[in-house]
Amino acid sequence: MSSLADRVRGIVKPAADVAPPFTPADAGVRDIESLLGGEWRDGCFIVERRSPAAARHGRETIGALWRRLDRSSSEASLFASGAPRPPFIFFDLETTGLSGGAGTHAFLVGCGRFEGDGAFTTRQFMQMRGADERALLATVRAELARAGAIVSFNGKSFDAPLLETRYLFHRLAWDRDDLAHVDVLHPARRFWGDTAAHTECSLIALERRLLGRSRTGDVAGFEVPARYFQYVRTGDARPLVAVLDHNRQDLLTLAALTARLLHLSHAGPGEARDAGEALALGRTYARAGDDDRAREAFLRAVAMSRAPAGAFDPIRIDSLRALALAWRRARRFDDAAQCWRQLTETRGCPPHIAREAAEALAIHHEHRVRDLAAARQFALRSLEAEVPPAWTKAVQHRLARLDRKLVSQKSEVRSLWCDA
Amino acid sequence: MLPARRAPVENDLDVALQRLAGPALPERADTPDRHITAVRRLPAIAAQYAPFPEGLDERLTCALATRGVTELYTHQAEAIEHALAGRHTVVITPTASGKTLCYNAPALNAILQDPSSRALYLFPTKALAQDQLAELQTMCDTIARGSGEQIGVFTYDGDTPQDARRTIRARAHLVLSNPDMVHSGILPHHPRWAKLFENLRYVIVDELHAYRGVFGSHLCNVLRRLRRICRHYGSDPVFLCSSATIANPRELAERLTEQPFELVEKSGAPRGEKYFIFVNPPVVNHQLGIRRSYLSETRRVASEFLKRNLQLIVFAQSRLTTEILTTYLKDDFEGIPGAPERIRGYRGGYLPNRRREIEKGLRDGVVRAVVSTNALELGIDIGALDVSVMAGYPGTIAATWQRAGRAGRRTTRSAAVMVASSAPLDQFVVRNPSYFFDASPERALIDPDNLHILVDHVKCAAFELPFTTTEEFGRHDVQEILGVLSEQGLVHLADEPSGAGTPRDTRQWTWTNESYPADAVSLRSVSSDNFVVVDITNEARVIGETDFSSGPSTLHPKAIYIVEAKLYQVERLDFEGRKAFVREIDCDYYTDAITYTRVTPIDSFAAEDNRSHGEVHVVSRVVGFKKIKFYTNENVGSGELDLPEQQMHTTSYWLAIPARLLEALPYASDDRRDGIAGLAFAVRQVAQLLLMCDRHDIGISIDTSESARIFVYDNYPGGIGFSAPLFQMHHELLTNTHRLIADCDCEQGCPGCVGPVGNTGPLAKAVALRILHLLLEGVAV
Repeated sequence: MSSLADRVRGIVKPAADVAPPFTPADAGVRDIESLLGGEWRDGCFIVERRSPAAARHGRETIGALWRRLDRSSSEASLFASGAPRPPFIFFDLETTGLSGGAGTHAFLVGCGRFEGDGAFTTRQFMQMRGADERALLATVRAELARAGAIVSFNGKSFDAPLLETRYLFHRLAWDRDDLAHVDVLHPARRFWGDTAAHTECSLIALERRLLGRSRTGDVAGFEVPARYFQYVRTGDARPLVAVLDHNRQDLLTLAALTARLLHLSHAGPGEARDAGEALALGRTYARAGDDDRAREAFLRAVAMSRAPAGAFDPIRIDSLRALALAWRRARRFDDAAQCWRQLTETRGCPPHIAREAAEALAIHHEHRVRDLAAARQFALRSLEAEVPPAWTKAVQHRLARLDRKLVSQKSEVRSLWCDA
Repeated sequence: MLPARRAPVENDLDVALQRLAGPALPERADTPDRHITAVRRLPAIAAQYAPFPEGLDERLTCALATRGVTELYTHQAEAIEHALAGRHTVVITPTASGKTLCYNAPALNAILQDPSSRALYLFPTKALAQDQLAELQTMCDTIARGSGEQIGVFTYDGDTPQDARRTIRARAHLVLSNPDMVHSGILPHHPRWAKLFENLRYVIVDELHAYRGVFGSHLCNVLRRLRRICRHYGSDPVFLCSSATIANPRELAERLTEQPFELVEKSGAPRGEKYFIFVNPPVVNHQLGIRRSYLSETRRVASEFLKRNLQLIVFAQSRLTTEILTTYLKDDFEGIPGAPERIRGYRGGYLPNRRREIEKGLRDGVVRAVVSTNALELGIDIGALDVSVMAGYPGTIAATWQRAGRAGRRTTRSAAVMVASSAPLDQFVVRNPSYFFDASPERALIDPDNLHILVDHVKCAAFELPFTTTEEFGRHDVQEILGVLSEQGLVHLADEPSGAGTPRDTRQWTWTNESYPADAVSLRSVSSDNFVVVDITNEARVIGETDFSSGPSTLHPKAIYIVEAKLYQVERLDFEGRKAFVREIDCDYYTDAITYTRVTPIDSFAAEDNRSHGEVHVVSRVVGFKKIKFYTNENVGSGELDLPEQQMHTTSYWLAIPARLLEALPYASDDRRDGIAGLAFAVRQVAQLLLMCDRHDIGISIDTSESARIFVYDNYPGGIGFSAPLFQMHHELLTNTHRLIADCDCEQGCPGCVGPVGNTGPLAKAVALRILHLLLEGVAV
């Protein structure tokens, strides 16, 4: 009978991404302090780097990014609850897997912040040995102790829950439940994601499009866990150098995107690069209840979205609609009506929006302008094309009422004549 | 609680029974050859009560009193006492004997005494968990109204919405779940469940008998991981289990949890007198051994009861037969259109609302008859009915008693009727009533140390908590297993001691792979190399999975595949891609694969006389298939197939028929071979019966090199624990096989004993009997 080990070997298939055998590395590459440029502090391995204000990240200098962020930091409350305020700590984890759960942990916690002189420092906390995790978590907690907010990219769904699990696992208290968390992914999608063109909204794609920066020799996200495991098994820390670099670049890009978001919110729609940004800005203001600024943004979005005649422009349509609703909220009904009218004349307007516009105009003409014939025209128009039965009923109800009013109007006029 | 005078329903029932079974009620001798082969009477049992055990919180006993429970049945009191004293307990008492109180009371009690207490419930299916949820919530409401204490009870399974999960983790005192969810949703995320694990007082496992074979072997390992995590959090929960009647409940509980158990088996619940009748439809073709349709017979039987306005349940083995019988009975008995339906069909796939409606209809008496698949066998409260009719033998003794248990008023008389089909097992049981009534029910068997299964769970456990160098897990040396996993890059043992100055043996094996091991493990199959079954009738969707080893024989092109009693036909098998594409079909036959197998013993664990069991190497190839008609089991077609060969190592029992015995037979060598084939066919049926397993759990192979050998092997790589028990039950196996063949009415062989004559040859039956006779003579009693 074959040995237990042989039988188990017959059963276990090798993990696809691993290349055995694992030979322990030489002493030279085990010297993590010099290889990675870090040091031990209170049982945690920390790598600290400073990017000076004059250095560039994409088209801008880091100092310029800092100035913009600093001036517009109050706008952060548009993007997160819990009163986010400076100092902002930019935050990105590198983990051993994507699944969460007790067996996944963050071996690298990257934190970045701007200094008073405009430089950007990153502190990367690493778990170099199994037993270090507690020290890592305690150190991270201390690092975040005086933060006013953490800023992440998809951190609400991934990074934060994962860290929470690690604190729970080690029975370490997390005493910053009050810490506001700005997750830039969602605003990024709204401002810079373009679903029609299917443009990617990953951090790297945004870095390329918005910051004009492309990376060479960067390590891909899916390679990261394998590099860490390689280090764990062999003691060779060289694969980690690229991981640290990748993490630092991610942090800087995150900071740059945040600066743009806040700057745009602060400076207003005049700074918007295109109609899409203006529209997203308007929606952001509207969600926060700032109707005046929202309207301004929608106006600009409409103005910027002057597409060539006859072309279908979904942003223009969405902007017109948003503006119409905003005018209506502000009780500027004539302005609203103008927008609705433009929508009914816009080519390629989706049927449900055209219907909505026609109905709004029917209401407007019935109750405010008191032009019943026009109201009736619009009501009829709102029945065009496929409509759901409930809609038809409602519109017919309106038509019936209009007809009654029209008839009684005529008889009023007649009786006036008669009396005279 | 007995009525002062005879209730009218009893007379109706008597009349119906007499019409069916003749005037000689009560009991009479078994008559295997007649239409009615057995009439057994189970006498009435009065209730036996006991007071509430000391230590039960007053708020709980008050709430129970509010709901009409002022004292307990003896078995409830016994079980609760054990639980309160911290002893692991397994309760086996019949359905409707109030066994849920046996585990609900201690759990609720613990919470009332200490609101930080928690309990975890495991049910084999989500539907059962849902049913128990309703009952528990009512109980908690009563407690809340009486005492103000709020107890949170929630189900936590794959259907629980994401945003509800956080709340449940925080607020549930009682968490109702199932093995799959615990395996992949709770244990790997245990830090989020810290509150539960720290305060876990009870783990309740309902329907313990469901955890046998592969599923049971997996559950044992899931519970090993659970207990490991509890140790990490400092808790040591008490296991409370309930089981249907099996031969070895305590053994099963102890093997599943690796803890010592108390057994509570004497029921204090009352039961009215019950009649149990076995019906065998008469033969209409003696040469081929074909009987009258058992469905028509069931219809006739059910009608006798229905026309006297008795309330009954009819169990059928498949969706098709359920629908046929529902149609029959509706044709006969449905009232005027528009009136509430009196005859309902029922199966597990129905939406919950519809199921609740039917169950309520039964309880209220509006529904007079329900025709159901095994979905109504367990758990769900449908009140107590007058009669339970089974169309076909349910497959195990345990299941038969479960279904019979659905009829049974507390005080008045009830009846259970089993109508046998012409399938071999059915015929065997109906013609040997004492096998059923006098023998003990089947043993539930598991093999949690099957290496394939164990290694998968070691991976999951390593993901959950790093292993220390001195830890044990299962019967094999887990350190060695971890060593191999480390070679494959899945775990890593730190070289240096962990942290300055710590001794060597606090090193740990940590998980060093980005995958989530629980995802690759299916609790119902042995290896992850499964075949996935995709239904392409409408939009493609996955409807099931099969073990790699059963794949070709159950999913070959043109195979009939049955899932939740619904029929599909395999259109295409993608062997390399491990996928089978099926389409819904309406047909009257099923398929049986013809597999050529070659079994070679590698190692014999034990041998005696002409029997052995041990490790074997199996090479098999599916070469064709037969189409077999339902109910009559005739051959109605066949086909050839060309599928890849499969190999595996597993365990097996084998029987050697000595060469000299064969030579002494007065038959030609061809006929001798036929006899052995027929014998093997029959042995397979009986082995299935004794092992309480499905057709595809075991395989049969014949080796006719020098002396003939018949192998009964576990159809799962690594074996699943059937071989050693078969080896021990060897005598029973042969004796019952002999009875199956000898008692069969057919002349030369039939699907009910040695197989259809067309397959096995004209002398198969005679030769098989002769061989058995000689073997039995030689075997010591």
